[in-house]
Amino acid sequence: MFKKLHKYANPNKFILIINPFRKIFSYLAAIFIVLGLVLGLFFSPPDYLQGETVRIMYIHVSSAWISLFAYTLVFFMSLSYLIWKFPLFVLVAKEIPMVAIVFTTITLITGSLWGKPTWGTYWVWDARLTSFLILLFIYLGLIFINKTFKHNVSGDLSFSYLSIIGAINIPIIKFSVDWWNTLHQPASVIRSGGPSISMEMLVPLLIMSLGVLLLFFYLILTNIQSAISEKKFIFLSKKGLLDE
Amino acid sequence: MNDFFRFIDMNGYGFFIWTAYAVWLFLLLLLILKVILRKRLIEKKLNYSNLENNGVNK
Repeated sequence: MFKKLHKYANPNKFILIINPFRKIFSYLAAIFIVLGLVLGLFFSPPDYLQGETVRIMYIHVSSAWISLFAYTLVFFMSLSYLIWKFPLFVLVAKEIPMVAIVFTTITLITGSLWGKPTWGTYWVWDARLTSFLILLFIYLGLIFINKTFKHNVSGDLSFSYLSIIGAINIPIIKFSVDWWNTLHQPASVIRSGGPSISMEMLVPLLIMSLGVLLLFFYLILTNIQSAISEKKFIFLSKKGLLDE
Repeated sequence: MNDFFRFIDMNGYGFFIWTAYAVWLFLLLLLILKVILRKRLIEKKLNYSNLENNGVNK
C-alpha cells in the first residue's frame, strides 16, 4: 500500500492531484452553506423550549464538529509522521491548526451568544466550555510551534508530540456532558440511540455541516498547495535558481 | 414589511442570533481571504513563468 502512496509523495504531483478537488470543494461548499442558511433561517421551526435562539445551532454545532474533526486529523497525521517519517503527513498536519482555530473561535463566540438567552450568562466554567477553551489553547500552541520552528525537523517532531499529547482533550470534550454535570445540553445528534432532534432541524444542520466541512477541505488543500510552493521557493532560493 | 421586522426581531432574540451570524460570516470571510492571499503571494514570488522559462518548474 505504501509503495502506491509513495508516487504521490512528489510535491508537484500532489499539487496536480489536489487541484481539481479544491475547485469542486469550493463550489459545493458555497452551494451547501447557502442552502443550509436558507433552510436554517427561513424554513426550520423554532424550538419548543429555546424558541428562535435555536437558529444559532446551525453555525455553532457545525463549527464545533469541524474543530473536533480537524484535531482528529492533526492527531492521525502527526502519528503517521512519527511512525513512517513521511514528510507530507506533517506538512498536512501543520496546515490544519491555523484554519481550525477560526472554527474553534466561532464555536466559543456563538456558544456564548446562545448561552446568554438560554442560561442567562455568556460564560460558565463548566466541563464542555472549559475543555473547548483548552482546545483553542492547544491550537494556539501548535501554531506557535509551527511559527517558531519553521522548516525544521525538530519543529516537526515537537509539533507531532504536542498534537498527540493534546489529543487527550478530544474524548474529554465529547464525553464531558456525560461525565460531569454541565449547563451544556447533552449530545442530541451523535449519540447512541440516534438523533433526538426533529428532522426539520436535523436536515439543515447536516447540510450546513457538510458545507462547512467542504469549505474546511478547500481551505486545507489550498494551504497545502501554498506550503509546498513555499518550500519550493526556499529550496530554489538556497540553490540560487530564482531570478530576484 | 411587518413580516420582515418580525423576522429580524426573532421574537426578541434578534441581537444574539444576528450577532452570532455576523461573527461567523466575518471570521469565515477573513479566513478565506487570508488563505487565498497566501496562495497568490507565494505564486507571485515563485514567478512561475520565469521558472518555466528556465526549465526549473517542470
